[in-house]
Amino acid sequence: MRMKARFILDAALFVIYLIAMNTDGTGIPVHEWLSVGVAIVVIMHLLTEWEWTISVLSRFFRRLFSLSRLHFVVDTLLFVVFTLVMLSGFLVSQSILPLFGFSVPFGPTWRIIHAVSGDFSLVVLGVHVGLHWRWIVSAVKRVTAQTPAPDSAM
Amino acid sequence: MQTLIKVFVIVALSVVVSLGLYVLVESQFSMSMGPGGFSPGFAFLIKMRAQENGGQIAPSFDEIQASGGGMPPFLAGAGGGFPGAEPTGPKAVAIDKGFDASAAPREELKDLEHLAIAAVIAILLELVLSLVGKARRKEAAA
Repeated sequence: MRMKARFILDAALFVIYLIAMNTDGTGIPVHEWLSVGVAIVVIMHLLTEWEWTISVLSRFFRRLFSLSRLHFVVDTLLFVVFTLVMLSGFLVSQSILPLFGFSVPFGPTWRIIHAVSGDFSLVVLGVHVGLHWRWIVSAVKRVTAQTPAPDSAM
Repeated sequence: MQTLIKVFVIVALSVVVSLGLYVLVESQFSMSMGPGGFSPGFAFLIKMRAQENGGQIAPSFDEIQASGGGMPPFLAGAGGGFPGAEPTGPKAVAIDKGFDASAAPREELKDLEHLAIAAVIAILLELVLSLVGKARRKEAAA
């Protein structure tokens, strides 16, 4: 996938996730449907990183640059935390599950897990973004360089 | 076809991780409200959540147990209320007493602050590791 497309996908994922996290602003139904959208975009994100993941995984315990190893550990942690956020969100769903006629018998524990893991996911997301800052800067440079100036587009 | 297989692997991995997390949470963090009180995992969760909500409103855990299950409203903010959220019984403790909600930091802003701090720390860590890597490569080349 081209860098520009990957950057747009990742930036959209980041922004949608931040919006979805603001439940006071969105309300529960929008929060839940946005989260479903986030899950789909995360799968797309993982697909774009498939080759890198397989490559690092195959060399993880052998000779591997320590930064790549750190990336892999943080990415794995993010995957687990994100799965926990989605799982707990699914179990305390107030909008989507009832829409399909399912009742939700899960109580306080999963609500707190959802809130705590959601907050923690932002911290891990911050680390994930921070570790990729060079790629982000380079992608922004490329995207802005490829974008024609308003005058020349006329 | 290959993409479909990859999607299947990702979803399958998520399901396996979910099952593991489900078993872990149900076994270690369940809110067993029996005579023995809460599980240690649930107590830990409550304390964590309370600390995130301003610290000063965090009740002592003994108080919560003594209240017979009455839960503070801030816990209900996690996306819903607890059954029996109102303090009940003669031993009920008003653990949100004196809490001024308007004085508490906006949670979304606080979360964004955590994200930003984590990103800055990661950037610094990345810079240090890159420099160390470069130095090692230079040494190896020499």
